Amino acid sequence: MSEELSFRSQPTNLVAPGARALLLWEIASVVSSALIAEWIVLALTDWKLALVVPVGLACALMLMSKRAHGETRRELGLRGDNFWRACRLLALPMTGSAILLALVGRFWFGVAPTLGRGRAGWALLGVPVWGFVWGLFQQYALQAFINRRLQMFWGTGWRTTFVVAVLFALLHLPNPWLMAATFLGGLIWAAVYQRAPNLWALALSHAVMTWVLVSTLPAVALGGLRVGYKYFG
Amino acid sequence: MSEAGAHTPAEASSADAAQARAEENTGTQEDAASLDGDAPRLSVSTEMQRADDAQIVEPTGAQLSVRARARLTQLLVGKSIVEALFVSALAVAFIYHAFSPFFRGSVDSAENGAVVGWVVDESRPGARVEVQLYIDGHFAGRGRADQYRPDVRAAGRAADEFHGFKLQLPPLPAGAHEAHVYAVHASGGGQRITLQQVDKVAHFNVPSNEMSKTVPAEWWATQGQP
Repeated sequence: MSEELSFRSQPTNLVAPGARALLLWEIASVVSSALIAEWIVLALTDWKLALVVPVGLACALMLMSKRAHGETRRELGLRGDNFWRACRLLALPMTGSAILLALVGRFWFGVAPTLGRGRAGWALLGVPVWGFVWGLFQQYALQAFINRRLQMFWGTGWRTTFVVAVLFALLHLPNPWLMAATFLGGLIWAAVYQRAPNLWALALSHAVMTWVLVSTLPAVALGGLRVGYKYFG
Repeated sequence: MSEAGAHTPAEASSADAAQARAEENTGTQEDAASLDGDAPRLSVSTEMQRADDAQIVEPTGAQLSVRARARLTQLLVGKSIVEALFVSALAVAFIYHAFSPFFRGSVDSAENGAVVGWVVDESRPGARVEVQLYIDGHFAGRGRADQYRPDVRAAGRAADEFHGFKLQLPPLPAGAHEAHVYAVHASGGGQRITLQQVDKVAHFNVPSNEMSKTVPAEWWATQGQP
């Protein structure tokens, strides 16, 4: 924890104004694609394949941007050398968050933690397995793209961490409990990524925390983990 | 440290970058203050800051060549255009499917205890359209436009003679009323139902004679919903 408390900001003020604006535009573009997918595509059509357009465009932008910025897989966090360090940094806040979620579930909703919330067998494994794959994708977008560009814009530090967490929570509108959980998770993951960029550890953490979330809070509160227009049914 | 805007070339020179890093590595209070700006400083000792510097991973790739920046800008503009066109196409497709533009019809009369008219779905000329009647904004009944109306076919508005409707008016208090007739349209695999008004609003009067009745308040509560 002391490592995180000693976090300090290092603005990257070596970037020309045009390039700085471009960084924000890149972030806004990917966020808008996600919002289009959640709030427009899923609202206007039942044809799920239509999601390919905004998601595909966002992925294409992220990949092209990676190439333009000359970022390596190692820089992005697709590496193994700092895996255990990232895990160590994640351990304490994850444990704290799990306890917090269990307490909220117990005292706010009056439910005891249940492993996988009634799932059994392979279905019990489904949450963390799917959570890892989906988590890796989300963490790539959130950390390797948004967090890194915010670091280029502002430098590392709490301001960047906070904005990453806010953006992550906004993408889970209007699901209130999921927004709260993703804001907390966003803070932790963004802070850890800035100190030990490892997407495998973050994806693992994402999967575990999703599993903890569905095991501690009732499904009614989580709205089936639905976000965007589909949250309303 | 100079502001980023003070760099005259399109992007900061590598010399500037090297100089900044060299200044940073000296660990002077001045460089820390200028780099941090007004950002929160949670560490207090220089020793701790140096330890942090070793741990925090600085992002690279902020510097873009003019060509790379131009390419990225083109990509962002292109993406925005494609997304705008996609959303527009999606919106048009949604409106086209949810609010069919193919209903044609007329409310001919609202008198003698019934609303009479015809309606055709030109996209499915052989289909019988379901209609709903609303009086003064309240649901008052439903029916199917399947009654004999040879004049509709004779006018070239339908492929056959069975597109008329006659919807019974409920007991109404004396006075002026409005009748809305809506064609019912299902879309989204039946998950979505929309009502599209047929023709204009029909205004009619219920005279104060034996035909008119004082409607109990319960009528609107029990009959007011489809």
